[in-house]
Amino acid sequence: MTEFDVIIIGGGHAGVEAAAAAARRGAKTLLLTQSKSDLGAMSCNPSIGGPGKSQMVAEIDALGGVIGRAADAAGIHFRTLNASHGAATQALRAQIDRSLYHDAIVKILSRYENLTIRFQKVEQLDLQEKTVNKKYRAKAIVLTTGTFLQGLVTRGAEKIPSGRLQDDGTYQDPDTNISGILKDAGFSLMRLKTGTPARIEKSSIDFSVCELQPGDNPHDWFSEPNPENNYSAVCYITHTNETTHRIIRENISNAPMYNGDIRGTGPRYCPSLEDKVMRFPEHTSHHVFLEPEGLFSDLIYPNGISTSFGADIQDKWIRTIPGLENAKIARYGYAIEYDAIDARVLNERLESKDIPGLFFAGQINGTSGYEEAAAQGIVAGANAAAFALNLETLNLDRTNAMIGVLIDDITTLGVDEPYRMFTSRAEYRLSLRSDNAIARLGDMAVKLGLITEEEYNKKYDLRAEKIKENDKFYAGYIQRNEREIASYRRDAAMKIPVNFDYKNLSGLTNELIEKLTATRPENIADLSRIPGITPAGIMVVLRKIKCGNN
Amino acid sequence: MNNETIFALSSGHGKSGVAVIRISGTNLKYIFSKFINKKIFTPRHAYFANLKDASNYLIDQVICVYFEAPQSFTGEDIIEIHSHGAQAVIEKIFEHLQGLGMRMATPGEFSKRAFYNNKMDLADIDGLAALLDAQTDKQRQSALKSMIGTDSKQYDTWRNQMIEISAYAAAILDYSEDELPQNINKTIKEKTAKLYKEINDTISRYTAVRAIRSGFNITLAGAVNVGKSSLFNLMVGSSRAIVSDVPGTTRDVVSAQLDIDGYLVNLSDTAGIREATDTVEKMGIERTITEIENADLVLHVFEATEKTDKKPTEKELIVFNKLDLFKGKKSKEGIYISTKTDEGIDSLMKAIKDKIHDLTNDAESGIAVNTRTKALLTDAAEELKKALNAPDENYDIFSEHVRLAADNIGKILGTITAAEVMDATFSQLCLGK
Repeated sequence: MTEFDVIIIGGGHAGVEAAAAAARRGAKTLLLTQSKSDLGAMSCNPSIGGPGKSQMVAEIDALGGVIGRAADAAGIHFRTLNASHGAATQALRAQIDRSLYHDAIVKILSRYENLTIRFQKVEQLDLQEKTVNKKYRAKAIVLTTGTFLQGLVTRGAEKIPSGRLQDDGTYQDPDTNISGILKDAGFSLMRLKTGTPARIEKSSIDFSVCELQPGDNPHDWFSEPNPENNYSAVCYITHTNETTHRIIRENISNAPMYNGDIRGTGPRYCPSLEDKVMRFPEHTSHHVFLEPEGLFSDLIYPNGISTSFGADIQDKWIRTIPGLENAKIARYGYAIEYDAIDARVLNERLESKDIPGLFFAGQINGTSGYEEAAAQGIVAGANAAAFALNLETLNLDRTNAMIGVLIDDITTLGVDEPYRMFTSRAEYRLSLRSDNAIARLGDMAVKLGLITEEEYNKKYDLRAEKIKENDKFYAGYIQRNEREIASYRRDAAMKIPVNFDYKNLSGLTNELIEKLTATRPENIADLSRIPGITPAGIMVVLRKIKCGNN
Repeated sequence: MNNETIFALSSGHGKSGVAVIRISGTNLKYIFSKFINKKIFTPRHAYFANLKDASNYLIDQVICVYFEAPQSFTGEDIIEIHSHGAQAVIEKIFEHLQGLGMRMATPGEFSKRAFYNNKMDLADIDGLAALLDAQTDKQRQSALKSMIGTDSKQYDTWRNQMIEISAYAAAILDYSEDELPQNINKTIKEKTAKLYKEINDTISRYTAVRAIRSGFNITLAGAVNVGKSSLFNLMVGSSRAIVSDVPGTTRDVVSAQLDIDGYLVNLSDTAGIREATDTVEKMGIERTITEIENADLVLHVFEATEKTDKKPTEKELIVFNKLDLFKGKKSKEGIYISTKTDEGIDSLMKAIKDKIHDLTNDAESGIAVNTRTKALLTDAAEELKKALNAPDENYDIFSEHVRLAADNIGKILGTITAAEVMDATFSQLCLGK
């Protein structure tokens, strides 16, 4: 049995960030994943950032994380979205070369001396004893299994047990052990769904009929200017048309999402093309963004037309799109269903409320997106290290970070579709900007050993001017935010004991008692955000807490 | 911790002789000393004060008490204002306090502060839980009803409009221009302007129709020498006059503010029918007609010996004066009084009270919530206006005001949740790559 402080299971964006954070805090860390290609793999769209997400990338960077640095190294097309709008809605988004990104991640991870990476499947896992494969034992475990738990790829009538379709065209095995182990430990699992479009050979596309979308020049960076990156690629835009939509409508009974084959809940913000066509019949055309999978890759990711139709039907309608008439399809689109836990059983450190030292991050918590996964990874990893080494914990909340909003949302309200971050989810968004992430979180990061004083100063100096300018521009709003935040913090400081018993509390309906017992809000601020709670209900709970304290 | 200063009506809702308005916050000493116009005062002592509004007009004569932190209900500084219980008075004081930068407390907020400051014992909270229950749903419903009658459909519409605006704002915040439908910027501004106008119109209509802000207007009308002035003086004398400018000097009508059964009443004696003096002459008879039109209740005064076929309308009472000189058969339509012997005055006052009750019946159930509702709607409208005035393209600022407007609307019509906004965003707009 080899002993570690922290074991991370899964090497995607959550796992990588968790492993790096635990290692930065000095924990002897083991990262376990199926294969080397998993590290920083971008299974879906080859891009990072955008509204809501770019703020989180900035926050992860302020906490010393890797996603921003890796994106700066592997970005091939950077654009600041909504550049003409106010600073708080502007968002950096970059197309990423997938192999450069993987290389950058591997390089960054290789610098952590106390991090061991092993490529193997999980055959045995004891959540209480924290042992894996009867070979490794740790004080804390972080589960970041992505879409692999009972992963099932669906394409038309085809069903393939798999966690993802790999670059080489082979289907990677799903994990079939962990779901059962979680169930036995009392976790309830739900089935979620996501999807990805076909990949098209670049040489088969006629770009002359498409609209060119160049990157910004010069452009912004996620972490800091990377002098080694002078790559430049272009994207194109084309559109679906009436013919495309007609074919989809004619074949809709063969769409797994529509004929009942897929029951998992998919994200509404990232609909498949069949979804768009059926739900918005008044739209006669939809955008298709032709994004390069890499600088030297011969693959194009057609963003906007994810689908789970069978290959024959995909063939038919993809070729109706201008520029794609002769498209050679390298890999067909598919939907994937997977198991996720209900994140309401986690606390704000992403640790199980029932099994101390067991952490969860990423899609297993019901979220979607690389940035969302990375954001949870850094929190889970930093806190797993804190648990193992008895260090100070990393606590982010709605008032100081978008990451805090994400974690509070999923652990307090739960999800009913894969959760994506939106700027509009954050009440204090004018204070939670990309530019000031280092000002918000830098002190905390230094104190927790996530970045050095020197790194802090460097990051801060890079943005000092921008922070000053924006703080001045939004001064009145920030002041009002601060008043709201003060009252929120006071509510958040009033903790509700983990084993608080809601039963027999007069004044609460049975329905509410059930909901609160399942959710177990950590504090009064969380309690007051649960739908259905009344001021009276809050008072009843407060009374009971106070009674207990006395 | 530096809290916002909050206030609420602590005495019961509806009419009462005396109303107690409680203010809680930090450092309220200065405000208290302004209220009572004294630099030096002792906590927990009652001070008589002429409470004046920003333009230095008297709102009401009140008793004020200052409780210094931590010896108070909430553990913060508290000011209690004991005013007359009329709705109009309370509303005016609320307006004044808002003007001073305070805000109406949310349900249970005083208790919450008391709890945080360890001022609350268990028995207190037991009672409060029941009270707070009442403060949520039932009162919200009654507030909705009393605001514009039974027109709750209007409210649902507003709430939905607010959700829709929030949804559009969310889409603009979170998607790049090339993913958004064309014209979304124009659409959202139009929707916002529409909701702003609707709320604003309702607020002004409410203010005019309800006659709560300015009190009930009772006007005396009738020919010269029927005893209107005597009746006027008698009513002022038999009630507790709040303000009286008898004899009228600057106005063309003689008026007085009275407290009748807890309601603020503006009693006026139409001057047009009096012997015209120089000032009044200029105003002319038209002013009298306007006065009568604006009245919530008109007392038509006749001599008892007069015969009249006039049938009183809903907002009229026929009063026959000089009962002491009358021996004939009384008309069923009128109230007979004598301003000389006071005979019949009690019946008249009772009839007036009945009329006031009839008029206020549906607004009765929740005056505090009612006032709160109006304050929240006003704030919401204000935020929508600020959103519309946000600099071009600054959709972050636009959305911030939309968020604050939605918060205010949510406090009246039920919290607008993120899930509802998301639902609206994705059901109405085709978004996402």
